[in-house]
Amino acid sequence: MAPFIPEGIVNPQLNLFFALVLGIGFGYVLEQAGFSSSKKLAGVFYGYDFVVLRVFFTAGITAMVGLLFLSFMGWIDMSLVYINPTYLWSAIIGGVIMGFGFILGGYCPGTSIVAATTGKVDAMLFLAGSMIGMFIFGHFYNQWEPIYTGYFQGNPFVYESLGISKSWFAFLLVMVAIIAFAVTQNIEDRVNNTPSQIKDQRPSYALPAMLLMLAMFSYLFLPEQRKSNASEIPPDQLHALLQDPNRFVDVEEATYKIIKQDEDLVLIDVRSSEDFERFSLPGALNISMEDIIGRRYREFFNNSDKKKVFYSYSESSAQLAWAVAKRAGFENIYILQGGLNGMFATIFDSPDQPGDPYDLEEEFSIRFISKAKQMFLDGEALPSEPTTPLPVKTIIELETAGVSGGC
Amino acid sequence: MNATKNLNNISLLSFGFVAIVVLANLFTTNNYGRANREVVESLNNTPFMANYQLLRNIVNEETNDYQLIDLRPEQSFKIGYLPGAVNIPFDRLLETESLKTIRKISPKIPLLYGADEPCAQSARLLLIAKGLNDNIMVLGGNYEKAFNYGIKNFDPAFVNYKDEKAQYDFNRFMNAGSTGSPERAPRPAGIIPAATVETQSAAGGC
Amino acid sequence: MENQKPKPFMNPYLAGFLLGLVLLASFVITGRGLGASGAAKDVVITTIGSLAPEYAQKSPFYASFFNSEERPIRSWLVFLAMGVIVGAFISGASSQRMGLKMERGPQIGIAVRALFAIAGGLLFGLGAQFGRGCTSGAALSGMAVLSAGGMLTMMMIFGSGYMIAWFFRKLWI
Repeated sequence: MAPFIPEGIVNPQLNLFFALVLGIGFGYVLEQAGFSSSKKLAGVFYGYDFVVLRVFFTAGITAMVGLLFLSFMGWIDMSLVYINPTYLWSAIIGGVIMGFGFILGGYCPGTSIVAATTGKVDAMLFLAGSMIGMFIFGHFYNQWEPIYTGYFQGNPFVYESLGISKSWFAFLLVMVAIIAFAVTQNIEDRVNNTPSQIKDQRPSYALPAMLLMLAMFSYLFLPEQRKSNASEIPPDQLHALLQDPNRFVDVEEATYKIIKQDEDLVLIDVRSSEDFERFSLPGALNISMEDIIGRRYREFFNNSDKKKVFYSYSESSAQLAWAVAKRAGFENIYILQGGLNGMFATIFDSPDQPGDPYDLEEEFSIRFISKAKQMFLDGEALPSEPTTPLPVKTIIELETAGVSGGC
Repeated sequence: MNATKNLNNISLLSFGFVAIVVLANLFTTNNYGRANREVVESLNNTPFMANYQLLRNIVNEETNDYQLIDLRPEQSFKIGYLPGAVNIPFDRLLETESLKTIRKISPKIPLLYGADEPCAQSARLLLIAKGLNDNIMVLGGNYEKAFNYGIKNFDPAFVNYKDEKAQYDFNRFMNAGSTGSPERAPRPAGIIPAATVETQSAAGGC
Repeated sequence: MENQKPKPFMNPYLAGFLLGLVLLASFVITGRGLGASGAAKDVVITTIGSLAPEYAQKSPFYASFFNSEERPIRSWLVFLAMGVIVGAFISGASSQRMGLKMERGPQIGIAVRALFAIAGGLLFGLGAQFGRGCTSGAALSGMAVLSAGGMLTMMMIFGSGYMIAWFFRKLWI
């Protein structure tokens, strides 16, 4: 499920490679669209060339519709996608200043890189100027900080702020775009006195526009969103797995791994953090149900090399957490049979003598259990040195992106 | 004209692709009624454990707001069940008919119990995930406990029984170090004698 | 239209569609949109950070120079910008649009255009910091994810542009 890199599906080390590839596509399209010309870019403000509006709006709508489609299908987890934070006055002031910069300079940073590459001197100067601007921002950062980091509104969606539904906003935005395309074409023709034979040679946009409107109109009537995503298993399968005896790891295996301090088995304590602090099994991780499906442990759960065993006092809570994780599609996860209560009952309240003196298997099991009991009591089962916590990777990029304000 | 044709083809292709995928998806796979995240929220936020006092009230018809649902297999149900319970075996829980029955119960609150508590809890999770009203409760423990402590010999000491509770003072075992006597582990400080803790059947029968 | 270049520009809607697909791919693969000003910022931060570390130490603006945790996102944007350069070069070369020149309105001279280009860049660089992204990072990517902040910045960019366009018309027409 997308996004691939935050989900751990694609190796993060390839991130820079993808940056390069995406950049090539970005630069190529911008140049092909004519964004290497400041005269063309500035035209949007003077009515002689609306190419900026066309490309910009079409691109925004294409990506928006694509994301709506993917998230509707449950193919992308929007909680892992970077949503620009809203710092009210900073956004307004920044936008106004950039508007001035656009009129004066005729570029924006992305287009200036493109134009500078194709040899436009003014674009190179613009780029140099923008670095000076950033330096100025940094120099007076302390004065500007209250505005820059103030009036924080979280990361709201625009339809939330307007109080309308997502589908209606998307529909209206597309309608506005299509109307704007038609109107600006008209203005452009009047400003330039476009001869009628050029107008006749223009391709017809009727069908694309109609299809887009039809798609957005249908989207209004689709149910809110698919409730499951692509990596999840269907309810029937989850139901069957909840009756599958193989979902348990028995006490002896878990005890053995604890005593051996085997790192291929990770114990996951799903109880509250207070309970966890009071007592937990050696080396266990305390992960709440929200965190199981949250982004923090995503990489850990997606990695199915390690056997992960959920436990709580009994099987009750552990099984719930397990079911949530199972539904999310995580593999190699189990439940500790009987939970902590069952484990301690087995180890400390089991008979010391086999009921049947000829049952070798039972005898082995009893011997093992009494050994384990001894080791637990002696504290030998505890790790000799504090175990290093598992490297849980938080997605730094998503979280710091807002601070660094990368455009 | 060439450009028109290209644009038309591209838009038809994209539109057709999206439309087919969405329609195919609408009519096939997904049949969860709640996203996983919503299920977790609901599990965390709604209090749902019922105690044996409530069971007593239901059985004595002091309240009419609940409907007991027995999740055990039919054979077990035939031998005995809590008064007023209807039988919906866990392995048939997601069948259309079972879901219909549970939906019909509202505005009464379904109160689930089974051969063990994890089973009843899982049933609740599945029903919530299927999109049923999350106002579903679970009786602590299992059928036997509920019957023994809730109906047959009502015992106030067990009124709040549930599996998900510490039955030992775990730290005394793990951290006691060498001070603990090697012969006998200190008796657990639990409420229930440890002998009554059955290790639940691995077969997962409910 | 009025360009007499060897090869005509791409149909704007088609270009927009393709740009949208690139943007979508960026979201799908990396979970974030495209951006351009971040790379310029990285150049500033790296330059100042290495030339005058004491100066940089004083401002949180340069924190990411010393803070290795923020490095990944910065180098991501730099690689993106390098890609943009490569892509623009491929496109420009294949369409015979390469060559040193300076575009300007019919009524102004080279010096004026140069001055205003620098001034415009300066303002844009400054504004992009407040807006937490420029037209691509804040406005375009923000619009794609329907972020309120991104849309607000976008409306402000074009709104203020139109408000002052008349006063600076001599620059362009």
